[in-house]
Amino acid sequence: MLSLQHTYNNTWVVDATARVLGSLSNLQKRRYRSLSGYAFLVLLVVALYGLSLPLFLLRKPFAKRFSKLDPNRVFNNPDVYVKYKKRLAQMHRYSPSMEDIAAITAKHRVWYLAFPLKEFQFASKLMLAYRDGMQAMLDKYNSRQFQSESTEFSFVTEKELWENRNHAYDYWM
Amino acid sequence: MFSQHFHFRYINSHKRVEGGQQIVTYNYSFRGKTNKRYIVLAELHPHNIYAVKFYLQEHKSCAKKYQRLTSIGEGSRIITTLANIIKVLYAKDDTSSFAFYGMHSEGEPKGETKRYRLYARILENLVSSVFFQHEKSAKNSAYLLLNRKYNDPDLLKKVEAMFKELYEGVL
Repeated sequence: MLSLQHTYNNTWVVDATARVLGSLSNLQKRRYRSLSGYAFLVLLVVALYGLSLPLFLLRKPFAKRFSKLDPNRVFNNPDVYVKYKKRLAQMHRYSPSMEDIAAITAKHRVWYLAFPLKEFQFASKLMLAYRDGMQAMLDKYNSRQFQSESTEFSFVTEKELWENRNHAYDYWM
Repeated sequence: MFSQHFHFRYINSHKRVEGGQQIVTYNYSFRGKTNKRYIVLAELHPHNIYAVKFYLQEHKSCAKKYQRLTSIGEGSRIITTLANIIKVLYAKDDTSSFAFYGMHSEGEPKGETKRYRLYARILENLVSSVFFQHEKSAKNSAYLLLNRKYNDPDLLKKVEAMFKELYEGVL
């Protein structure tokens, strides 16, 4: 069944999705028997289609742009690096929600919600792949590019530098 | 902090050969808030490594000019000025690497000097690891920023060998 045990973070998309999915869960159990309940169901379905249509339209261009990213040229200046790091931190926070949505199986989809749920799933899987791709690009900075057998110098990883820095300062280089 | 700097100017450059290696020194100068003049030497070593040094001009003839403390209290602006000079050098050649040595003051041990601790803290906060590989040696009070665009996987080994030869006692 749809799981709502995780706490969703404060973004309107994730929050809205959680509320909608929660409502769907109740609807599937046929708790709403009155006319107002069915009217709410109609509104809910319309809202879901409204949310999923932009996802459908933007999914392919986003996937195409992401596939064309050159790992060696993504971080072409410090500001871009900072922007991606912040974005990646956000992605890690939303990962539980996205993994929940990506794990919804076909048997849990009712016919009138097949399209929106499918779109939410595609979007979640794409965002999870984007997260993993960005993390892989950054992970290469956590190993030494220039090697030495000597122990005179110790390597400072990108992760260590990011965690220990004062984020009030802008990078010089 | 680290946003304001003194206006600096390029003076000249000269070449010398030391330890069988050609070193080109680029000289810059700037004046601090008390109008005292600082001299900055950016020494370009083989493998595109810059070693940046600075001292107060009035200490020019002093053997321990790099160890003297001025007690003027304009450290952050001086360091920001040096950073801007480094940016100029980096803009000239984006494969340049940089080496820093925290000289010990008189009576201070050579390992993990206060200058080294300051430089390390600043470089870790203000230079990203995307363009430079950070290598530090607290024991030797040395910090390296190795440019990731430099196409030689043995760069670190060569830098260590170079500094052992040139700067006896540093490594």
